[in-house]
Amino acid sequence: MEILFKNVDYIYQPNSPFQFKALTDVNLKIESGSFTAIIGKTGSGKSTLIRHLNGLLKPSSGEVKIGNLTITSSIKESQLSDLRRKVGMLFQFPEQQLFADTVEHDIEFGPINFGTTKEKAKKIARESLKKVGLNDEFLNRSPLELSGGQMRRVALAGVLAVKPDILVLDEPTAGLDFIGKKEIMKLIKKLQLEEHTTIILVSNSMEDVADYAEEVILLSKGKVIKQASPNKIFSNKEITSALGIETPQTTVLAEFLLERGVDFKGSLPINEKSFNNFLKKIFEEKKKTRIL
Amino acid sequence: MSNKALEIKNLSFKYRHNSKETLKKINLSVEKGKWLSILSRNGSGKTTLIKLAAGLLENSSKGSIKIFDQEVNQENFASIKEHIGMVFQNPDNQFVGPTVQDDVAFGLENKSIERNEMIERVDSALKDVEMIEFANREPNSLSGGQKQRVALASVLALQPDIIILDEATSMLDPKGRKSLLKLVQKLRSQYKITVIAITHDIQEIEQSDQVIIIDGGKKKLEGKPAKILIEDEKLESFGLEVPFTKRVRKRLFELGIILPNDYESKEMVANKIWKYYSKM
Ligand SMILES: Nc1ncnc2c1ncn2[C@@H]1O[C@H](COP(=O)(O)OP(=O)(O)OP(=O)(O)O)[C@@H](O)[C@H]1O
Ligand SMILES: Nc1ncnc2c1ncn2[C@@H]1O[C@H](COP(=O)(O)OP(=O)(O)OP(=O)(O)O)[C@@H](O)[C@H]1O
Ligand SMILES: [Mg+2]
Ligand SMILES: [Mg+2]
Repeated sequence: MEILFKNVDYIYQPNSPFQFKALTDVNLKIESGSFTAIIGKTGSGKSTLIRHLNGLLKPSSGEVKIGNLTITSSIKESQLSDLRRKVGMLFQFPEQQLFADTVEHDIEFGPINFGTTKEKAKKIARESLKKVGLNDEFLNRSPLELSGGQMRRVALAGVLAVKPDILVLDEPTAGLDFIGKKEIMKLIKKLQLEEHTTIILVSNSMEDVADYAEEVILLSKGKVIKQASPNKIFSNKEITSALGIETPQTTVLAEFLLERGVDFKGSLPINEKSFNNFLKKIFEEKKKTRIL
Repeated sequence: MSNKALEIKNLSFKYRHNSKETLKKINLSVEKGKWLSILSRNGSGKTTLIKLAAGLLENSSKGSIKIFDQEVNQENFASIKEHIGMVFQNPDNQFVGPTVQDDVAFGLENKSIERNEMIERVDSALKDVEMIEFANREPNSLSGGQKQRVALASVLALQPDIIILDEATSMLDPKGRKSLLKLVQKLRSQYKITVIAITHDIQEIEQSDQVIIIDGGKKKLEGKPAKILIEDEKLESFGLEVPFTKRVRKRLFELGIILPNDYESKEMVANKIWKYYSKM
């Protein structure tokens, strides 16, 4: 399902002293099956934007199109039920989506709610839990008596269990340990590549964005500043420094080398893989010319 | 006041609803004015440890926990609390006031601080974390990172002797994270505050004086960051990240370029690569 935003504004608490325009004239196109990262500073509107994707928020003006469904300010809740089945959303704070008495019931809830048999849901719960790096021992635990990282994993398992067409993740790796981060990012990438799930990732990890995303949407103060490939975004010094967006660690190192005179032939590496390839190439070339 | 901000001896802990022991015979001592970083995999007992230290969980083991020489227990809870300001892993668990400024003022009201000073402290804490324009907002209506900023402000306003940060900047953008940690660092050296910070960001431990790594409920490694940051294999075995510049060093090694086994900044590594490159 393709996602389109047309002239979307979003205003919180309209006509009150706390009225706040969190999105201004947002226009975007996100292709079906793509992997898109949304980045921007604290309060730039990332969570607000993605909450439009399952109709949790409706545009104050403008429209959001997801597949055949057009969401405007006047859409009725009843028209959104099909959408909610197709869009899985992991919230920024996992506690906001954990509610059942046990981890097992929590993960089963989605599938059962969407018509899966109890038995099959049980099986799905186990599989999903395993995918997020937790073993069966957690099934009978209370989701609210877990560590922070364990809670986020359980919340993610609950979202994966319904096998959504569009997977929306609000900082899925915040609070995860190093191995957990890597495994979960790989799992998400795998869903995109093998299941053709559309992935929308809000992230503060520029390394993850550079490693996994195909497109980046850069927000600032509720406006889309740029939508482009990670390469284009992170090598655009004007934009990143003007907006205080940090570039991936690799790019920072590459910039130091560039200043000293290393020739990157116009394109700075943004992730470790491309940086390593580059290192290999320049040192092997140097060796060759030296031998000649 | 004693020079030992925190002293833990032989501390073990088990949750009632959990069959396993979460902490096993932990010993730890933190001097006043120092910055301790705690690292571990998810579910290894970091949050449990600091909650015990702050008296928020009851220590039922034979081990002891002392804050400035005073045993942490129910009787002493009120005076222990005076020393500690804690930023919880989830800021939602921390908010008590109907507005951001009430929330920051809340702890001060309990300390019976004079009104003028209270207003000043609330203002300055909110300015420090760049949230002053949100003073009248309901904390619940803030973005994730804004919540974390306010949670930190509430603790800073208290001017506690010990600040405990449980992944307090996990939802901030990289620049925002650095600037808040710099702020805490500045206040620490200014007022000799002791900082105990839990993090999953290996780079963040650079600025600490002391690091401990917990695994399986046990303290497995302790030392200064310069020492911990070069322990590639150990870090890996505890499921932790090897610092970026150390990973680069490894790649260079494979290309026949040997850098000394120190922990170095990106700029220092760039200088070394350039030296090799330009000499070749
Ligand atoms: N209920 C509300 N009432 C008024 N303003 C709100 C409300 N909810 C959010 N906002 C404001 O909208 C802006 C955008 O918030 P949003 O949560 O989308 O930011 P974000 O980019 O996700 O930030 P973060 O990275 O910190 O989570 C923020 O300034 C926030 O304070
Ligand atoms: N209230 C509780 N009842 C039972 N077990 C608990 C409770 N809270 C935490 N645990 C368990 O104790 C262990 C340690 O949890 P803790 O929150 O201290 O870990 P942590 O190191 O802070 O992890 P994270 O990095 O994920 O925040 C975990 O396995 C967790 O499931
Ligand atoms: Mg957010
Ligand atoms: Mg924790």
